[in-house]
Parts: sequence; C-alpha cells; structure tokens
Amino acid sequence: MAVIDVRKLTKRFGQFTAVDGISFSVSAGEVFGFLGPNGAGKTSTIRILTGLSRATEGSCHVLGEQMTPENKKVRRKIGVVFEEANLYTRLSGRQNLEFFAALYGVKKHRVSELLEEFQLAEAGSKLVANYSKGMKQRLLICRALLADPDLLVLDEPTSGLDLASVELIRGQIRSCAQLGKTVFMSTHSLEEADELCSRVAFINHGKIIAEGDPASLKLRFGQDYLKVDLIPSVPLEEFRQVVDSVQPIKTEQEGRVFSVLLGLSSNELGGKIDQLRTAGRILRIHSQEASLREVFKSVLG
Amino acid sequence: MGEKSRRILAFLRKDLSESIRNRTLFIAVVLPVMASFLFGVLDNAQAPKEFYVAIYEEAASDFTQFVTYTALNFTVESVPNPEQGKALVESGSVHGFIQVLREDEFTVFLDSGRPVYFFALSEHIEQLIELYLGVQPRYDLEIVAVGETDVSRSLLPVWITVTLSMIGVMVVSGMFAEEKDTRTIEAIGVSPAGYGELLLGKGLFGILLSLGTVGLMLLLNRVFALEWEGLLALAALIPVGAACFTAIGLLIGVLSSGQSAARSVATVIYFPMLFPALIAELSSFTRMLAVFFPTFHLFSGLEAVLLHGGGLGVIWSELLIMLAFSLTLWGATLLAYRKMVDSYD
Repeated sequence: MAVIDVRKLTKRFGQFTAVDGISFSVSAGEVFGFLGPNGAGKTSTIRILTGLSRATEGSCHVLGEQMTPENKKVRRKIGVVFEEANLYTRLSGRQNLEFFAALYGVKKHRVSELLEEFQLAEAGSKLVANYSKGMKQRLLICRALLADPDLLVLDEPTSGLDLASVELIRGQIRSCAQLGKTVFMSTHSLEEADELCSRVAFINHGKIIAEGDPASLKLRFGQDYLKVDLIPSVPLEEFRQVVDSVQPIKTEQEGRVFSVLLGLSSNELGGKIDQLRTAGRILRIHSQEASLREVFKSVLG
Repeated sequence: MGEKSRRILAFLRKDLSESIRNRTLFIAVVLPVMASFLFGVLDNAQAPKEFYVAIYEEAASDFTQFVTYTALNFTVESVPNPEQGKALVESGSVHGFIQVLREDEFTVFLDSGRPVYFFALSEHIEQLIELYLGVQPRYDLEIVAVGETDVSRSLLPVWITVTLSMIGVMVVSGMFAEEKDTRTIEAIGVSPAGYGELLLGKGLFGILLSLGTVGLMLLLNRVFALEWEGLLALAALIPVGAACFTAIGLLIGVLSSGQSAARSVATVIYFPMLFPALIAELSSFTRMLAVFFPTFHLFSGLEAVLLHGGGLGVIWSELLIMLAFSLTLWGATLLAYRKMVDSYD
C-alpha cells in the first residue's frame, strides 16, 4: 500500500496556480525527495499532505486517509518538521516536547529519550529562545519523532545548519529509513537528496517534470565524465587553444592546476588525452558520475 | 481522563508556563491589581451631570416643585416618608435624598458608595437651596453618609470591569495571534488536537487568568467579608464576564493575521467598549449607548453587588444579558475558527 498517494493535485491562490495537477505515490520505507527551486510548489504540496491546507482539486491520501484540515485520524502517525523553527521560545526544549507529547498522547519518558538521542539532554531545561539554529532544528526533529510516526515529512530539514547538526540529522533520516519508516523530504541540497533519497521528484511551476530513483535520473538526464587535472607546459595562449580543441564539457582552474572535463561518451577519448598531454603535464585522470545537480540543471533547462 | 480533556489541559498548562515569562501579560495582570489597591482611595474628578434624588417634605412647601422646574438635570421622586427616601439611597436607586424639615432646615442623605456623586451632588444641592431661599445661606444643612462602603471598594466595579475586559480583549487576543506569528499554530494543526480543544484550552486559560487576577483584587480590597448572597452573585457574574471577554479576545485573535494586527484591533475595540459603560450615567445618550456593550452590564451588576449589597435576585437581568453575550461570542468564535482552518493557506 502506498503511504502517500497524490492524484491530480491542484492548489490555486486566486489566479495563481501553485500546484498544477501533480500525481505521485510514495511506498512504505522509501525516502522520497521533493526537489525544486523556490516557489515551485513544494511547500504548498507539503501543506496539503500534512492536512494544513485544502487542495483546490484532486486527491491526497496519506496512510489510506484523505487529508483535509478536519481529518485528524492519521495525524498521530505523521511527524512533520517545518521549514521555520515554529517552537515556543518562552518555554524550555523539554517543555516544548512535553506539551506536544500531551497532544499526541505520548509518555514523558519518550521526551527524555529523544533529548538524549539528539544531544539536547543538557540544554533541555534551557529556554528555546537561547538555542542556536542547529539546536532548534534538532528539537523540531525530536518533536516530529515523538509519537514514533510511520511517515516523516521534512521541509528543508538541514537548511542553514552547521556541519555537525547536518550530519546528526542525516544520520537520523537514514535510521528512520532503516527502521522501515517512510520519509518525504523537500530540500534545496541536491547532494543531500543524492545521498539520502531512494526516489526523487523534480517540481517546477507546480508541475512534476521528472521523477525516479537518482541513478536512473542521472542516466537519463546527466552525463558521466572524465576529469583530467594538468599543469600547462606551453604558453597559456597555446594551452587554451589545445584545451578548446578537445571540446571539453567544462574547464576549471585552481592555482596552476587546470581541470578539463571530458564526456565519457565522447569519441576518441584516448586521442583527446594524448592531445592534452602535448600541452601540459597530466597530474591525474579520474572518472566522475553525473550528480543530481546536473540532472536538476538539465530538467529545469 | 479522556484524550480531549488531556489535550485541553495541555494547552492550559502550556499557556500558564508561557505566561510567567510574558511581560505584556504580567503588566496586564499586575497593573490593575496594584492600581485597585493603591489608587482605590483617590477621588474621581469626573463630574456627573444627571442626578436622581428623592425628596420628602415634612412641612408643606413648594421645594419639590422648585427643584423639578429649576434643576433640569435632576430627576425628582417624591416619597411619602423619610424611611423610604433613605431606603432608596441605600439600594442605589437614587443618588441622594433631601428631607425638608422646615422652610429653612434640610437634611441631605447621599450615597457614600458613589464618591463622584457624593461630592458633586452636595455642591449642587447647596446651590439649589441658596437659590430656593433667595438669600445667603442661614439654614442648617447636615450631610449624612449612608452605608459603610469604603471608597476603595466603590472603585472596584471599575477596576474589575477594566481588568476582565483588558485580559480578555488585549491579552488573550495577542496570545492567540502570537501562535500565528510564530507558526506554532501549524504544529498544532498537524497534531491530533482538534478545533474545539485549542479554543477551549486557550479560553480556559483566559478565564482562569481573569478569575485569578480579580480574585486577588477582591482579596486585597477585603471584599470576601460580603454577605453570602453578594458572594454568590459575584461567583456567578465574574466568571460569565471573564468568559465573555475571553471570547472577544479569541475572536480578535482568530480573525487577525498576526499579533500586531490583533493588538491594533483590540485597542480599537477595547477603549470604545469600556468608556460608555463607565460613564453611562453622565447623560441619557451615554446610557443608551452603553446598553449595547457587555462592559456596561458587568459594571452595573458589580455596582449592585459591591456597593449596594445586592444578590442574585438584584442582578439577574445583568447576569442573563452577560450570559447571552458570552454564548453569542463563543459561537461566533467557533465559527470564525472553523472558517480560518478551512481557508488556511
């Protein structure tokens, strides 16, 4: 059974269509990445998915229930992390969690467990107003995990965080997936989606423009390439002429070292490397697979 | 305990914990309590213009006729004996009673529970008698304070009305709208908590805060020494008043986009709602205007109980009107909240 089943979902705000008839489904245990630029329709979809907002047209079923603002049946099984740190700043971290624990009907010892797990045990008695951004984000994830939900919905979970917090949160997302929980996440970080998601969908102007597992999307929209790092051994003018003649995908320079990216599918790859060797001393050659960033650029034109 | 009750109590506990660190709320609670205590003895310089007086003439005279035609701001009632005149003052039905003993000897009984009227009326009556006699005063005039009301208690109806309406309209509206500003309302929205639970939890907090503050005010002013009829009347009237103003606050919070909008709307509503009630007796126009506001009915009920020792039998009409206001406003709040959730984007 699909944990999330969205059919022809549309959300309009007056004349503006934020979500334009999208359909997708997410199966149990999947980490589904919902990717797209700002204003693409990600947050509007998440709001309908979590029952905060009503769809203009189409249907949105979560765990078998039609999501509407009135339907509270499956709310206990859904954990949500919002993009904004919507916490009570005049309460401590523990008080915040205890309040939501009461709303979800969760025992208090779960609060202590989560504070411990997310390295907030010591800060738990401090006011949230004094928390750093990373601490607030970890507390938001604690809140979402309070009722041990079947589905975790994350809106930009690591946006603007320090590396340690990012790693901690990504680790938790992986653990959730390992425990068979379903994760639906929107993120701007394509590296994060590449690392965590078993399936992704790209949304732009309210429409899904590509969907699939990262590997197949890379195969379809990306290009694997060979990266040749070299130091010019001829005058720079002449070196540039040689580099241009091998028709690289891209050229980068860092100090004296130039990196020339050649498409793996291009003809006469060996010949091109030989040609580069005439103009410079090759330091290393390595192949690199296409990234979701390239897929993103490709599908968004 | 059922799940719903547990969630309502969770809202209540959360709001109470937050309120300890909420400076606005602290000011709204402490200020009126301290003011009622410290400024209770101060005179109110506002001079009323409409007076209700009873007159009894011991000897045949035309004093009643003179007052009726000369003092247009006096509503005069002739009484058949002095006891009835004093009883009218004691019950708060009239502001004063003039007993004409002889052509140049008068006794004036004034309501000590209304210091504003006490001083203004004594001056007016003095001038009237001078005019009536057409001479410089040679008469014997004695002013007797009726009732044992101290001045601080006489101002309590004002302070209680101000406090209940301020906590309800200004504080509760702000606290609800703050949930929108901080988007914590969305975290509640995705939780299993339903409509009514959030509203009831917030409403209960507003009512309890109002009751706690007014209770403290009554305690500081030693009002718990009232007769049990009076205490019973207060126990009925104050919670209904608290519920009514809390509903207004919630309604403002639900309809506002955020805290600053709620504060503006609350201020615009609060002062016009409060003043006609407090100055209702200044003129027939202010009285006519005041009856449309719950503040007036609460104030009248409180005056009847705190100043004139009235019980439930005296304030039943005020209580019913307040109850009607409360039910209507709570109904409107629930509808507005449903509409807000329905169109929340």
